[in-house]
Amino acid sequence: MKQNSKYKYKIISALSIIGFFMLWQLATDVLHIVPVHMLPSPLTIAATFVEKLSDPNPDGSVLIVHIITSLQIAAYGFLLGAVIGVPLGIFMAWYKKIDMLVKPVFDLVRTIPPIGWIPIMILWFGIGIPAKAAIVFLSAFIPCVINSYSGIKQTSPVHIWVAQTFGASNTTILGKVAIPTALPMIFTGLKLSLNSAWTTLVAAELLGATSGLGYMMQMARMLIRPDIIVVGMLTIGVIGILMSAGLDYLEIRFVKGGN
Amino acid sequence: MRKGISVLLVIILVLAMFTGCTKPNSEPAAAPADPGAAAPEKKEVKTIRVASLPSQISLPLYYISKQGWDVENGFKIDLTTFPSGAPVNEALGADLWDVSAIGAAAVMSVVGYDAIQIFSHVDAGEGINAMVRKDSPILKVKGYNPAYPEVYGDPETLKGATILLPVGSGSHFQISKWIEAMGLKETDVKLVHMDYAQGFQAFKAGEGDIVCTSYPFTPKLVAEGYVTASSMKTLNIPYFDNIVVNRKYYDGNKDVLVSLMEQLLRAADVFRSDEELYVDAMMEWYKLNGQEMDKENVRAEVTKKPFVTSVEAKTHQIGASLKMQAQFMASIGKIKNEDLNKFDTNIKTEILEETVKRFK
Repeated sequence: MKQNSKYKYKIISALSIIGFFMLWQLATDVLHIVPVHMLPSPLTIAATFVEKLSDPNPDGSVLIVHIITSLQIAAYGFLLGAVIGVPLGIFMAWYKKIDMLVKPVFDLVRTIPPIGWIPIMILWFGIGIPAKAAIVFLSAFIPCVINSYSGIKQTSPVHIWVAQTFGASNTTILGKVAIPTALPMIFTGLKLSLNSAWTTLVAAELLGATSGLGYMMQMARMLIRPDIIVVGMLTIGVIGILMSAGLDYLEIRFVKGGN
Repeated sequence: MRKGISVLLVIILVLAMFTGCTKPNSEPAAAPADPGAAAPEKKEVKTIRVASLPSQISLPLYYISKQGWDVENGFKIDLTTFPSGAPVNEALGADLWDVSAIGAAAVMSVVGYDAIQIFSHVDAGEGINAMVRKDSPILKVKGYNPAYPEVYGDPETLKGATILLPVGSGSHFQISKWIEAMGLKETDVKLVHMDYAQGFQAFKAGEGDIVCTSYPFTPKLVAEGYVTASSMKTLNIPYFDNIVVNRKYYDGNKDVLVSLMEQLLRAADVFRSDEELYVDAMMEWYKLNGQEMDKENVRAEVTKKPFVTSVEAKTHQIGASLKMQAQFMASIGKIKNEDLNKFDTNIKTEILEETVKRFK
C-alpha cells in the first residue's frame, strides 16, 4: 500500500510538470496568447538549447564553453570565499578581540551589493578572471562567515565546561568541541555560499566578459533573443541544483556519519 | 444591529473622504459663452511617447518639446530617457514607446520588434573612434592600406590586440571595418564587451590595447593624451543615427508622424543657422542628463555631427547606413541572413516625402 502511495505521488508530480509545459506550449506556439518575444515556447527553448551546443552564434561561443567559463569563475570565488570565510567566522566567534576588530568592517561590507563593486574591481584587478572571481568571492564569503560564526556560538556551554574540566586548552576545545558542533551550520553556510556565488555570476560577467553564461544572457538581451536568455537561466538553475546535490552528499558523508 | 449600523456609518464616512479628491482644475475658468457665437473648436493634441538617449541623437526631440513646437502642431512629446539602445529595445518589446531616436540598436528594433525606420536624421560618425595609448606599436604604422591613408596599424601590430567595446554597436561595426582593411578577421583579435564608460575606466587603468569610444567620452580620452588609431571618418564609413517608429503606432498615425518630422527638420534648420544656440541647447541637454561638459568639446562634437536640414532632406536617402549595419550584424552571426529582408520592407520613405512638401 505504501509503495502504491509513493508511486501515486511520483505520477502526480510528473503529470503536473508535463501539464505545466503543455499549457506553456499552448499559450505560446499554438494559441499565441503570449507573444514569442515575451516568452518563447518550451519547444523553441529546447531547440535553442540543442543549437547552442554546437553553434557559437550569436555570442561567439558554444554552450559548453560558456558553462566552463562560468564554473571557473564561480569555483574560484566560492573556494576563496569558503577558505577565507569559514575560518574568519570561526575565529570571530571564538576570540572576542578578533570579533571586535573585524565585525564593524564586515557589517559594512556585507550590505554592499556585488554589482556595486564592479568599478573598483576593474581598477584593482583589471578585466580578467581575477576581477570576476573577486566579485563572486564577496558574495560567497558572507554566508560562510555568518554561518560559521553562528555555528560556533551555538556550542553548548556544558560541553565546553566538560572539556575544561578534563584540562583541555582553549585551542583544543575549539578544535575538538566547537568546530565539530558547528559543522552542520558551516555546511549550511557553504550551501548558501555556493548558491550566492552561482547567482552572482551574471553580475560578475558584466565586467568585460568574452564568454560565460551571464555574458551569453547579456548578448541575448542586446540581440533580442529571449530563447537564449531562458536557456541561460535554466542552465544556471540546473547546474545550481547539481552543485547543491554534491554538497548535500558531502554533508551526509562527513557531517552525518555517512548515514 | 448597532454594530452593523456603526460599520455602515464608518464606510460612508470613508467614502465621503474621497469625494473631495478630484483633479484640481488647472485651466482658467472659461468666459461665459456668447449665445450667438459658434462653439470654439477644441484642438486635439495627440501624445507621442518618445524614447530618447542622453546624447546628441535625441537633442531635436528635446528641443521641440522645450520650445512647445509639438503642442503648436497638434501633438505632445512625452519624453523618456534610457541609458542605451538595449533598454530602448526592451521598452519597445513592452510597447512603452511610439517613436525613438536610436543608433545601431535600430537594427535589433527592426529585426526583433518589426519597427519602422522613417528617417536617418544625423550624420553620427564623428567621435566613434578606436583609441590607443601614445606608446602603442599600432601608431608606428600609418596608411598600411592606401585606401585609408589616415588609419594606423597593420596586421602585425593589430593581431592579438585586446579591444574594449560595446559588442553589436556602431563601434563594433567600425572595428570590423578596420580589421577588414588590415586584412584580418575578427578571430585575429580579442573583443571584450564593455560599454563606453566602463571601457574608458578600464583603459585608463591599463586594461586592453585599444578602446572604442564615442561622445561624450572621446574628448576626455583625447585630453588625457590617447590617440585615435582609426575612426568612422578615417575609414570613410557613412554612419547615421535613426528615427524609428513602433509598428503599432506607425499604421494609424502617419499624419502625426509627418508633423513630428516637420518639427525635427525645423529644429535641424535652427541648429544649422545658429551655432551658439545649437551648442547651448546641447549643453543644456547634457546637463539635464547629469553630464557637465566643456563648451568647446560640445562645440567640436555638434558641429561635426550635423542634423539633416529641410533642404538636405529633399535629396536625403534613408536606409543605406542601417542596411549596411544590418549586413555587418548578419556577417558576424548576430542576426540571421533571412532577417535582412526586413530592411527592404521596414524602411519607409513616405513620411519624409510628405514632410519635405511642407518646406518650399
